[in-house]
Amino acid sequence: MRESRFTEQPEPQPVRRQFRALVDLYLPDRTVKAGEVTDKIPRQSIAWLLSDGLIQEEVSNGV
Amino acid sequence: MAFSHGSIARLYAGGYNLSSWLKSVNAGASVAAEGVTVLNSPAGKSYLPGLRDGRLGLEGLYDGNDQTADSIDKILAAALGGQPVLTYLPVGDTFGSYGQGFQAVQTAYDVLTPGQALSKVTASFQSKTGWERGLIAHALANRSASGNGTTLDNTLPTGNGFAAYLQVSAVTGTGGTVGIYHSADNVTYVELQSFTASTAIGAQRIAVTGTVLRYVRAQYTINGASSLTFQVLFCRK
Repeated sequence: MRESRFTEQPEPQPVRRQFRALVDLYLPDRTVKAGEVTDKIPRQSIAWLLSDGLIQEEVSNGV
Repeated sequence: MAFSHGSIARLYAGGYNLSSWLKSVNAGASVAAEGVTVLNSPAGKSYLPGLRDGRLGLEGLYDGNDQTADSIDKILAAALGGQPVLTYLPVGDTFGSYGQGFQAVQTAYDVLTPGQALSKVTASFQSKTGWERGLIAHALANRSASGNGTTLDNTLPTGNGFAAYLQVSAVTGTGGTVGIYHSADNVTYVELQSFTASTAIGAQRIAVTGTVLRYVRAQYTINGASSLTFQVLFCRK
Protein backbone atom coordinates (compact mmCIF):
# COMPACT_ATOMS: atom_id res chain seq x y z
CA MET A 1 0.00 0.00 0.00
CA ARG A 2 1.31 3.36 -1.01
CA GLU A 3 2.09 5.72 1.77
CA SER A 4 0.02 8.88 1.74
CA ARG A 5 1.91 12.11 1.43
CA PHE A 6 -0.86 13.90 3.22
CA THR A 7 0.15 15.12 6.62
CA GLU A 8 -2.51 16.35 8.99
CA GLN A 9 -2.46 20.08 9.52
CA PRO A 10 -3.51 21.62 12.80
CA GLU A 11 -6.96 23.20 12.86
CA PRO A 12 -6.64 26.87 12.02
CA GLN A 13 -7.28 28.97 15.07
CA PRO A 14 -9.73 31.84 14.71
CA VAL A 15 -7.85 35.09 14.46
CA ARG A 16 -8.55 37.24 17.50
CA ARG A 17 -8.96 40.87 16.55
CA GLN A 18 -6.70 43.20 18.42
CA PHE A 19 -7.66 46.76 19.29
CA ARG A 20 -5.82 49.73 20.67
CA ALA A 21 -7.78 51.63 23.28
CA LEU A 22 -7.79 55.37 22.62
CA VAL A 23 -9.36 56.15 26.00
CA ASP A 24 -9.57 54.20 29.24
CA LEU A 25 -12.17 51.41 28.85
CA TYR A 26 -13.97 50.01 31.86
CA LEU A 27 -14.86 46.39 31.15
CA PRO A 28 -16.84 44.28 33.59
CA ASP A 29 -13.73 42.60 34.96
CA ARG A 30 -10.87 44.92 34.16
CA THR A 31 -9.79 48.32 32.93
CA VAL A 32 -8.01 48.77 29.62
CA LYS A 33 -5.85 51.86 29.75
CA ALA A 34 -5.57 54.27 26.83
CA GLY A 35 -2.85 53.11 24.46
CA GLU A 36 -3.08 49.48 25.53
CA VAL A 37 -3.55 46.83 22.80
CA THR A 38 -5.91 44.05 23.72
CA ASP A 39 -8.02 41.26 22.28
CA LYS A 40 -10.27 41.18 25.34
CA ILE A 41 -12.85 43.76 24.33
CA PRO A 42 -16.34 42.29 24.64
CA ARG A 43 -17.73 41.37 21.22
CA GLN A 44 -20.92 43.42 21.65
CA SER A 45 -18.93 46.56 22.46
CA ILE A 46 -16.61 46.52 19.46
CA ALA A 47 -18.97 48.12 16.95
CA TRP A 48 -19.93 51.16 19.01
CA LEU A 49 -16.43 51.71 20.35
CA LEU A 50 -15.11 51.70 16.79
CA SER A 51 -17.82 53.99 15.46
CA ASP A 52 -17.32 56.43 18.33
CA GLY A 53 -13.57 56.48 17.69
CA LEU A 54 -12.73 55.07 21.13
CA ILE A 55 -10.71 52.11 19.82
CA GLN A 56 -8.89 51.34 16.61
CA GLU A 57 -8.16 47.97 15.14
CA GLU A 58 -4.56 46.87 15.09
CA VAL A 59 -3.74 45.42 11.67
CA SER A 60 -1.13 42.65 11.63
CA ASN A 61 1.56 42.98 8.93
CA GLY A 62 0.90 39.57 7.38
CA VAL A 63 2.67 37.51 10.00
CA MET B 1 -49.33 56.65 41.00
CA ALA B 2 -46.97 56.97 43.89
CA PHE B 3 -47.56 60.12 45.84
CA SER B 4 -44.88 61.18 48.25
CA HIS B 5 -44.84 63.01 51.54
CA GLY B 6 -42.87 66.20 51.99
CA SER B 7 -41.18 64.80 55.05
CA ILE B 8 -38.90 62.61 52.93
CA ALA B 9 -37.54 65.55 50.92
CA ARG B 10 -33.87 66.39 51.22
CA LEU B 11 -31.82 69.50 50.53
CA TYR B 12 -28.04 69.39 50.34
CA ALA B 13 -26.02 72.60 50.11
CA GLY B 14 -22.28 72.70 49.71
CA GLY B 15 -22.02 69.14 50.99
CA TYR B 16 -24.16 69.79 54.08
CA ASN B 17 -27.53 68.20 54.66
CA LEU B 18 -29.84 71.05 55.63
CA SER B 19 -32.88 68.77 55.95
CA SER B 20 -32.54 68.49 59.74
CA TRP B 21 -33.44 72.18 60.16
CA LEU B 22 -35.93 72.71 57.32
CA LYS B 23 -39.68 72.97 57.57
CA SER B 24 -40.26 73.49 53.85
CA VAL B 25 -38.56 74.04 50.52
CA ASN B 26 -40.09 75.44 47.38
CA ALA B 27 -38.21 75.10 44.14
CA GLY B 28 -39.36 75.64 40.63
CA ALA B 29 -38.82 77.25 37.31
CA SER B 30 -40.27 79.84 35.04
CA VAL B 31 -39.90 80.76 31.40
CA ALA B 32 -39.88 84.31 30.16
CA ALA B 33 -42.62 85.21 27.70
CA GLU B 34 -41.08 87.56 25.18
CA GLY B 35 -43.59 89.88 23.56
CA VAL B 36 -43.61 89.77 19.76
CA THR B 37 -46.83 91.69 19.21
CA VAL B 38 -46.56 94.02 16.25
CA LEU B 39 -48.80 96.60 14.69
CA ASN B 40 -52.00 95.39 13.10
CA SER B 41 -52.50 92.45 15.48
CA PRO B 42 -56.25 92.33 15.91
CA ALA B 43 -56.13 88.80 17.38
CA GLY B 44 -54.30 90.08 20.47
CA LYS B 45 -50.84 89.94 21.97
CA SER B 46 -48.29 87.35 20.85
CA TYR B 47 -45.41 85.84 22.79
CA LEU B 48 -42.45 83.55 22.28
CA PRO B 49 -41.07 81.42 25.09
CA GLY B 50 -37.75 82.77 26.34
CA LEU B 51 -35.09 81.41 28.67
CA ARG B 52 -35.75 79.09 31.59
CA ASP B 53 -35.10 80.27 35.10
CA GLY B 54 -34.73 78.21 38.27
CA ARG B 55 -35.19 79.34 41.86
CA LEU B 56 -35.38 77.87 45.34
CA GLY B 57 -36.61 79.16 48.68
CA LEU B 58 -36.47 77.55 52.09
CA GLU B 59 -37.82 77.97 55.57
CA GLY B 60 -36.36 76.33 58.64
CA LEU B 61 -35.79 76.46 62.35
CA TYR B 62 -33.20 78.82 63.76
CA ASP B 63 -30.47 77.78 66.15
CA GLY B 64 -28.20 80.76 66.44
CA ASN B 65 -26.25 79.24 69.33
CA ASP B 66 -25.05 76.45 67.10
CA GLN B 67 -22.15 77.93 65.18
CA THR B 68 -20.51 74.69 64.16
CA ALA B 69 -19.54 74.35 60.52
CA ASP B 70 -22.60 72.26 59.71
CA SER B 71 -25.22 74.47 61.40
CA ILE B 72 -27.85 76.11 59.24
CA ASP B 73 -27.04 79.61 60.45
CA LYS B 74 -23.36 79.20 59.70
CA ILE B 75 -24.02 77.68 56.27
CA LEU B 76 -26.62 80.19 55.10
CA ALA B 77 -24.81 83.22 56.49
CA ALA B 78 -21.59 82.16 54.79
CA ALA B 79 -23.32 81.44 51.49
CA LEU B 80 -25.04 84.83 51.20
CA GLY B 81 -23.76 86.44 48.06
CA GLY B 82 -21.86 83.30 47.22
CA GLN B 83 -22.68 80.63 44.69
CA PRO B 84 -23.53 77.45 46.61
CA VAL B 85 -24.24 74.21 44.80
CA LEU B 86 -27.63 72.84 45.87
CA THR B 87 -29.27 69.48 45.33
CA TYR B 88 -32.98 69.34 46.08
CA LEU B 89 -34.61 65.92 46.31
CA PRO B 90 -38.38 66.28 46.73
CA VAL B 91 -39.02 62.52 46.84
CA GLY B 92 -36.05 61.59 49.01
CA ASP B 93 -32.55 60.39 48.37
CA THR B 94 -32.84 57.00 46.71
CA PHE B 95 -31.18 55.76 43.53
CA GLY B 96 -33.16 56.68 40.40
CA SER B 97 -35.39 59.22 42.12
CA TYR B 98 -35.99 62.62 40.64
CA GLY B 99 -34.20 65.73 41.87
CA GLN B 100 -33.16 69.24 40.95
CA GLY B 101 -29.73 70.77 40.91
CA PHE B 102 -28.83 74.41 41.26
CA GLN B 103 -25.63 76.33 40.87
CA ALA B 104 -27.19 79.25 42.62
CA VAL B 105 -26.65 82.73 43.87
CA GLN B 106 -27.99 83.08 47.40
CA THR B 107 -29.96 86.31 47.27
CA ALA B 108 -31.43 86.51 50.78
CA TYR B 109 -31.04 85.16 54.30
CA ASP B 110 -33.42 86.22 57.07
CA VAL B 111 -33.72 85.29 60.73
CA LEU B 112 -37.29 85.76 62.00
CA THR B 113 -38.13 85.95 65.71
CA PRO B 114 -41.90 86.34 66.12
CA GLY B 115 -42.83 87.07 69.70
CA GLN B 116 -45.14 84.09 70.14
CA ALA B 117 -43.63 81.45 67.87
CA LEU B 118 -40.41 79.62 67.13
CA SER B 119 -37.57 81.56 65.63
CA LYS B 120 -36.98 80.60 62.05
CA VAL B 121 -34.79 81.25 59.04
CA THR B 122 -35.65 81.82 55.42
CA ALA B 123 -33.36 81.98 52.41
CA SER B 124 -33.72 82.46 48.69
CA PHE B 125 -31.59 81.21 45.85
CA GLN B 126 -31.50 82.18 42.20
CA SER B 127 -30.13 79.55 39.84
CA LYS B 128 -27.43 80.73 37.46
CA THR B 129 -27.67 77.58 35.37
CA GLY B 130 -31.35 77.52 34.56
CA TRP B 131 -33.49 74.66 35.72
CA GLU B 132 -31.72 71.29 35.83
CA ARG B 133 -33.80 68.22 36.60
CA GLY B 134 -32.23 64.84 36.89
CA LEU B 135 -32.08 61.43 38.50
CA ILE B 136 -30.08 60.26 41.47
CA ALA B 137 -27.10 58.26 40.21
CA HIS B 138 -25.70 57.62 43.68
CA ALA B 139 -27.66 58.14 46.88
CA LEU B 140 -25.76 59.56 49.84
CA ALA B 141 -23.53 56.76 51.10
CA ASN B 142 -20.05 56.17 52.40
CA ARG B 143 -17.56 54.42 50.12
CA SER B 144 -14.18 53.23 51.30
CA ALA B 145 -13.23 51.27 48.18
CA SER B 146 -13.34 52.12 44.49
CA GLY B 147 -16.34 50.96 42.49
CA ASN B 148 -19.34 52.06 40.52
CA GLY B 149 -22.95 52.88 41.20
CA THR B 150 -26.06 51.35 39.71
CA THR B 151 -26.77 52.07 36.05
CA LEU B 152 -29.33 54.64 34.90
CA ASP B 153 -30.94 53.42 31.67
CA ASN B 154 -32.36 56.21 29.50
CA THR B 155 -33.41 53.63 26.82
CA LEU B 156 -31.88 55.92 24.17
CA PRO B 157 -28.78 58.07 23.76
CA THR B 158 -29.19 61.85 23.72
CA GLY B 159 -27.25 64.64 22.06
CA ASN B 160 -27.55 67.66 24.32
CA GLY B 161 -25.00 66.95 27.02
CA PHE B 162 -25.62 66.82 30.74
CA ALA B 163 -25.04 68.47 34.06
CA ALA B 164 -24.22 66.58 37.24
CA TYR B 165 -24.08 67.55 40.88
CA LEU B 166 -21.82 66.05 43.52
CA GLN B 167 -22.39 66.57 47.24
CA VAL B 168 -19.58 65.34 49.48
CA SER B 169 -20.65 65.30 53.12
CA ALA B 170 -17.65 63.56 54.70
CA VAL B 171 -14.06 62.75 53.80
CA THR B 172 -11.46 60.69 55.57
CA GLY B 173 -7.84 60.42 54.56
CA THR B 174 -7.16 61.96 51.19
CA GLY B 175 -10.63 61.28 49.78
CA GLY B 176 -11.07 60.32 46.16
CA THR B 177 -12.60 61.17 42.80
CA VAL B 178 -16.11 60.68 41.46
CA GLY B 179 -16.97 60.69 37.77
CA ILE B 180 -19.80 60.15 35.32
CA TYR B 181 -19.35 57.26 32.88
CA HIS B 182 -21.51 56.15 29.98
CA SER B 183 -21.99 53.14 27.72
CA ALA B 184 -23.95 52.07 24.67
CA ASP B 185 -24.35 48.48 25.85
CA ASN B 186 -24.04 48.49 29.66
CA VAL B 187 -20.94 46.31 29.29
CA THR B 188 -18.06 48.61 28.42
CA TYR B 189 -18.01 52.07 29.95
CA VAL B 190 -15.99 55.18 29.14
CA GLU B 191 -15.59 58.38 31.10
CA LEU B 192 -17.88 61.27 30.26
CA GLN B 193 -16.49 63.72 32.78
CA SER B 194 -15.16 63.55 36.31
CA PHE B 195 -15.50 65.97 39.16
CA THR B 196 -12.40 67.51 40.65
CA ALA B 197 -10.87 65.22 43.28
CA SER B 198 -12.68 65.55 46.61
CA THR B 199 -10.48 66.14 49.64
CA ALA B 200 -12.97 67.97 51.89
CA ILE B 201 -16.68 68.52 52.46
CA GLY B 202 -18.13 70.42 49.51
CA ALA B 203 -20.17 70.32 46.36
CA GLN B 204 -19.50 70.60 42.64
CA ARG B 205 -21.37 70.93 39.39
CA ILE B 206 -20.03 69.78 36.04
CA ALA B 207 -21.63 70.17 32.64
CA VAL B 208 -20.67 68.86 29.22
CA THR B 209 -22.19 69.22 25.78
CA GLY B 210 -22.49 66.47 23.16
CA THR B 211 -23.63 62.89 23.08
CA VAL B 212 -24.58 61.00 26.20
CA LEU B 213 -24.99 57.30 25.59
CA ARG B 214 -27.96 55.24 26.76
CA TYR B 215 -26.46 53.93 30.01
CA VAL B 216 -24.92 56.17 32.65
CA ARG B 217 -23.42 55.45 36.05
CA ALA B 218 -21.30 57.10 38.70
CA GLN B 219 -17.85 55.64 39.27
CA TYR B 220 -15.64 56.46 42.21
CA THR B 221 -11.96 56.01 42.89
CA ILE B 222 -11.17 56.06 46.58
CA ASN B 223 -7.58 56.73 47.58
CA GLY B 224 -5.86 54.20 49.83
CA ALA B 225 -7.05 54.15 53.48
CA SER B 226 -9.57 56.89 52.68
CA SER B 227 -13.31 57.23 52.28
CA LEU B 228 -15.90 59.53 50.76
CA THR B 229 -19.53 60.03 51.73
CA PHE B 230 -21.21 61.47 48.66
CA GLN B 231 -24.33 61.85 46.55
CA VAL B 232 -24.64 62.32 42.77
CA LEU B 233 -27.50 63.81 40.76
CA PHE B 234 -27.31 63.33 36.99
CA CYS B 235 -29.26 65.71 34.73
CA ARG B 236 -29.45 64.58 31.10
CA LYS B 237 -30.31 67.44 28.76
